Amino acid sequence: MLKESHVKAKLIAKIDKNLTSELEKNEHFAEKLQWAKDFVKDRNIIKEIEEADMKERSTKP
Amino acid sequence: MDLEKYDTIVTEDVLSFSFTSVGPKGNIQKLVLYQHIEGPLYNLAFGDRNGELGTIDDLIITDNKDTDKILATVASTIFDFFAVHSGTIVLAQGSSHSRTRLYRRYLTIFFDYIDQEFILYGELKGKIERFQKGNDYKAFLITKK
Repeated sequence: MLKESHVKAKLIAKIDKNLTSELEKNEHFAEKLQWAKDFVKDRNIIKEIEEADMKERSTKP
Repeated sequence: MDLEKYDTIVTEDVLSFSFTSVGPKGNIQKLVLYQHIEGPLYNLAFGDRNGELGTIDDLIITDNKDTDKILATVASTIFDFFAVHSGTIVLAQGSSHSRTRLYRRYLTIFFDYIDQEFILYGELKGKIERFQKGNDYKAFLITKK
């Protein structure tokens, strides 16, 4: 907990407790979240990233 | 890199950021959200904020003559997000092909800077690869080194 508060103290943005309650009133960017869910559906993104990393390592001199 | 940015505020969970774009079209409130998809995956959503109606997406081109400053501000939120949410992967896509192209242009310009702390990937023809300048990616993924 101490570590988390230490990290948060160093953020570029300023923590605003009111923003949380303001944003709770409405649903935001629902269509974007749906797009993201469709993007990852039936895929193993982590495995795809690992494969991309392996390919990068194998092609680097 | 010392780009001009707007001051931002963030929710306590460091998932939602807000700032105000200032320009000839007036003061426009912007919202940057990191939406949890599943597991370590988050989606970066960005657009205008409207207090009454919720939010509208970035299809609306407000043209407040501050695109560089806005995108630098959005980029600054990535640093804060990863500072708190380590081990995650962020997915990003523009709401239109031209917007995705705009993001790609900025990612290309700042690639050397981004590459110091993050690993950037692009999705091309359904396949994820390490980001390479010049490729017409449909979506981007970013993770911290």
